[in-house]
Amino acid sequence: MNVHELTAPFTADAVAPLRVGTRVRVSGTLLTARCLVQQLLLNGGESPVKLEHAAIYFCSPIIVRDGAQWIVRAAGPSTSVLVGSYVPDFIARYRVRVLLGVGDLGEPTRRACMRYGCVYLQTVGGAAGKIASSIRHVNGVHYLKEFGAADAMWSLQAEQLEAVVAIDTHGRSLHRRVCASSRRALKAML
Amino acid sequence: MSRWEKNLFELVRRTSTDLPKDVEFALRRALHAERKGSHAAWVLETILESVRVSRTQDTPLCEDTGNLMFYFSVPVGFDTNALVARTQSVVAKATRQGYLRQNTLDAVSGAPFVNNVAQSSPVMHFQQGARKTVDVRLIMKSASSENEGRQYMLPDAELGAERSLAGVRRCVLDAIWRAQGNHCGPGVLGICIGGDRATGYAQSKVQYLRRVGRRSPVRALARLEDQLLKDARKLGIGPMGLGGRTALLGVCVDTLSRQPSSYFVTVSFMGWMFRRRGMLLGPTGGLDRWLY
Repeated sequence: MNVHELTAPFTADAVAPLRVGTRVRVSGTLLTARCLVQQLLLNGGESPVKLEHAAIYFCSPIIVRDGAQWIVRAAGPSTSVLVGSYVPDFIARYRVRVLLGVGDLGEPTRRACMRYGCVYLQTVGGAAGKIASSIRHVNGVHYLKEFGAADAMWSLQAEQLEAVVAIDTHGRSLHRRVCASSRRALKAML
Repeated sequence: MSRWEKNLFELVRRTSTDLPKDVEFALRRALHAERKGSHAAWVLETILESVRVSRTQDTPLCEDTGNLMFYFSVPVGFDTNALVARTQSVVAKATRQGYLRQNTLDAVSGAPFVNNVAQSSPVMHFQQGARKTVDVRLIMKSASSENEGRQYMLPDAELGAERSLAGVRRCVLDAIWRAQGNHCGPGVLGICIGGDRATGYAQSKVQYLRRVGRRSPVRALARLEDQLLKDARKLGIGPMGLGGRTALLGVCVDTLSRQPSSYFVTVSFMGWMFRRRGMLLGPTGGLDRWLY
């Protein structure tokens, strides 16, 4: 299968050609932002970094300090459903361009992706070792003291992180498709 | 560090970084069942590669090192208070060394317990055993799978589920369908029929002490396990909910007695990062042998 190289900057033109089911390799800066960061930034908080065209990774990594350096020990995706209620507003407000996570993000996010030109990429849940080896280094961290290491906003430099397009900018959703077909299969089975 | 702490630390380290052979075998078998080049095959190949990387590099299999559930079986007259303190000290050390994530928060304020030691963390279950050794087993259960657990009370008119194994099947299929993509599948289901709301969940999780592929000794339950595995394949949910044949690696069904007016069916999920290890320790904490 062909693999699309998606490299920063993540502009509208860069993500528009992506279609649901396309395999991609992502290179560039990823910002981790789970519930607490998104909640803060949607309720009057000011982002410490520019979010327009950013790639947001739903991830709660294990990163340890070794002298002056941060060492990434595990960095797989968090289940996206945990942040699903914030994501549509987050896309609208900050015009982020790429989301990475695992699992379905629901209808409001699919519509927001279509309206604002954002893509959702599914990585492999739990593949913490493999994905950590795609993180070349840690650029920095915000909200570490406030939210702890698991929910801080980490800036990670990724190189060829593998994913598949789960929601594209044209309103298609891979999970929606599988959900519908499995529902039909379930009905036929009972 | 005493022998107790040295060996308990090794239990935590190995559980966090090294997938049990039975689970890895089930993942390899699942890969053979998927179409080459499909999303399902890609997911399984990535998982197996990640398992190898974590084992080689001595890093956690999953960044969510989960809820730590210890199951101890101790000889008569054994001092469990000392074992609690040693286990807590080992968990704190494993957190400092990055084998465990800072994963424990105050329920209301959200303030982190930086060493993962708090009320109910780690979870420790004790029972008295007949052996002279201490049997200790550890399961690490991530939040994504824990969040998808469901409990049903039969009869359930909406699902058309009566108080029978056919009704249980309907509940479990509903739970599988609802959880698709959200629990880092393919994983293993722990199911308890009966019990009350608390013991049902507890017993559903005890099932994870069973090796993947080992069927229930009760013939009717073993048949239900087989049926549910076949059903899950037909749903086409596949790994990570991206489509394919392998939504589950295994199903473990067990029962508890119940009251006449209750009929609970409790379904717990475990993702593919099924971290489970165990060991037997002698009277002074020396390693007798590994389990699993």
